[in-house]
Amino acid sequence: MARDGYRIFDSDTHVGPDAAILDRYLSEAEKGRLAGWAQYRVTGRFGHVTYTKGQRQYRRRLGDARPDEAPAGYMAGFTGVAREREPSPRVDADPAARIADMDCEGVDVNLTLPSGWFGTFTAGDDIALESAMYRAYHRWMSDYCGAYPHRLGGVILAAARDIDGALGEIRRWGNSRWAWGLMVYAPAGMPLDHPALEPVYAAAAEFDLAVVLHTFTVMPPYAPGGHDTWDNLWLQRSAAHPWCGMRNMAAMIGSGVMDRHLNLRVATLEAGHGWLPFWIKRLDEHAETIKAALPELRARPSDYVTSGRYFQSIEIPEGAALTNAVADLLGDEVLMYASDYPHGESHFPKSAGIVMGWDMPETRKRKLLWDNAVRLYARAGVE
Amino acid sequence: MREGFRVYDTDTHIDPGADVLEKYVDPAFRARLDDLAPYKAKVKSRTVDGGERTTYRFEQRLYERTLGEAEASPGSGDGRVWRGKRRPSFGVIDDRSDNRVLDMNEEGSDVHFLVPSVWTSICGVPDVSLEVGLIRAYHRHMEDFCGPHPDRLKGPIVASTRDVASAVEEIKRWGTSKWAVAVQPLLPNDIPVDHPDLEPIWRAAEDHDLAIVHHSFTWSAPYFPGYTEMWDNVYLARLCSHPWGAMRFMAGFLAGGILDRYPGLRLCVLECGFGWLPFWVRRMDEQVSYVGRTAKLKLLPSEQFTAGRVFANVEAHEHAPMFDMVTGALGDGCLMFGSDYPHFESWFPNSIDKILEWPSVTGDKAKKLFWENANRCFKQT
Repeated sequence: MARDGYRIFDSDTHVGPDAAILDRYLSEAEKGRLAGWAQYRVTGRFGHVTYTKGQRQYRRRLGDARPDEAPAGYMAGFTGVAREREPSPRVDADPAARIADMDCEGVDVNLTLPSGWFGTFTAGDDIALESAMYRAYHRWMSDYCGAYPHRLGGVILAAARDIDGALGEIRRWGNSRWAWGLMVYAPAGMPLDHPALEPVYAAAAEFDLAVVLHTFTVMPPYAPGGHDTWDNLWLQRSAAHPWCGMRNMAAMIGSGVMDRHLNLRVATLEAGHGWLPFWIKRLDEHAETIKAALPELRARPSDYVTSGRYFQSIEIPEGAALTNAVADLLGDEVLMYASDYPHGESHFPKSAGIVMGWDMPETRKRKLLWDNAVRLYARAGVE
Repeated sequence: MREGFRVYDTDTHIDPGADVLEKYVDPAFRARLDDLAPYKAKVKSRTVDGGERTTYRFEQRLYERTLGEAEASPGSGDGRVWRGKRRPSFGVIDDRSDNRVLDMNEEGSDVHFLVPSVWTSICGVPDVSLEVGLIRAYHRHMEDFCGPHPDRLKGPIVASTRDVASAVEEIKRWGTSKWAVAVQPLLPNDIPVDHPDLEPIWRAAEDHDLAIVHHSFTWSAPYFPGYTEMWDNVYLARLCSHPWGAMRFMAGFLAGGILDRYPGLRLCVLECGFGWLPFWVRRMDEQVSYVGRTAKLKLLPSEQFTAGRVFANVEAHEHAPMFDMVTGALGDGCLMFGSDYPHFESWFPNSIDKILEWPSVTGDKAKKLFWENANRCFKQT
């Protein structure tokens, strides 16, 4: 399908199978391990069961001396976008419900990432459980996406604390229809440029999987600065995604991983995009003025960003003018349409329509809505 | 003047050594110098003479892992490269304002705004009285340093946020002096800029028509947000420190409603880059509606920009297209010239020339960038 002649690839959406769904994909032994996490088990208002070990709370309103001590749940205070209708409540359980929403909005393809709670397992000591949950997620993704192989895909989750396990999962699923990318779950303090992760990036390159960088506001793997946002959710929400995107892409590019794996593609998702031109100038400047802190690179950091192997999803509220300004500075090959569906910042069911209404050259718009994501997620097999 | 433009350099530095500051301490504080002695450090001078200086350095966080390596290499340093054609003249960060003015004349700079650094890391020391003692000494030094060149050397009053009463006292003492055009709060990482205890500082600054200045630091207190999460790498730390520190300060200041409550105040962030401003302004606005948890605001952050009360200085490495993008988005009333003299990233004595190469920096735009915006920010009525 297409909308007004444009095909639309949403490069950053989420899927949050709750623990009750994933339970069916765990062995009895693995269920036993998960039972040890009972104290972190939470049932949400729609009955979704998740685990929240490691969840941070930001309780102070700006201008107040002290935090609000009233009990508060996940992302308390966050309202998101005022929408004319909500996504289907069954979107995480039933792929047909997601497809119906996609059809309603006119979206052809969704790249799905796990929702925020899934990072909880990096906050525990049970690495075997963490790997088991990722394996269960992969099996479930195979089922979930399998019914709509040309429209739904996702990422293989790589446990940075279990490299052998991660490599096993990449080999198991790397050629499967649903696996279009790879996301590393590293525990707090472990750099994404750590040499221990090199086999993971090599495997991603071998299987033509895009490496995606994405963070969450209150859950691990934490964005940098999460303890330094003055206990305020507005500040944390403003800063977490951009700061994490900035640091992580700088570490990836600056470590030379894209030199060592010449077909590796990297994307920063849900982190905003208006900062990218500024950031790459800074990357270049400091790669010269602080040379000793990074290995010798074959090119300037900015050259990797504009090489056709780096991508970044847009944030719709940044608007047409800023998006055009970024594309004017970096070219049309970097930015991708994204909505964050079905999360709170998605403008569903109007996200695609907002961007389609932007005043920009048609070629640029087509690349933004479709072509660039197709290049990043080459394994999606769409053209 | 440079090519017919008056130039106000809003980001330059001064770092009086321990021996200089000690001359200016209160008589009653002199006995406390023994408490400061352990913090004296010998450092290599960056000026033309080379040699050693003694400075107060209260702590220094090193980032010693090379990207791609598993472990840090202690002692590796950061290997910073000097950008300028020549080193600044002798004593320009200590007590030789005559040499500083000669450097300014060579570069074509009319006014320097002097940001204090290094010794300000005292805000990481638990004993607040030491901080207050050094701040008071520093202000007396500024009076002497800037005094012979009252129209050319300016700076901020440093405000302790751990001793607000003393900060207000210092603002009252120096707020009408010729050199004092701003207030720079020393904000330890755990004190929010929007905390109500700091209100007397903003009130006193407004009473004296002083701008509020933020400048971030990489290696020492007051630290930038995320400083413990740089994966021990100075490339990442240097990339993030200044912009993130400014983003947080600006966000807390604007969404804390401080400019609403004090309509005479102006805010400026220095040496923190400027290409991120349009993005950050949009994001702050957006999150006000999604998240709330701000003070009750009369104006959104973007509206404070268009009201002409928020300023930042340009960085040469961001280049002309970024300048065009930012002025296109936010207008030409918020960006100011800044060189980082006499630090590594300054292109001294060609910092102004680097900006004059930007095609759109001509006519009224150039006047605003080099002079008028800074003169409005640091207006000293």
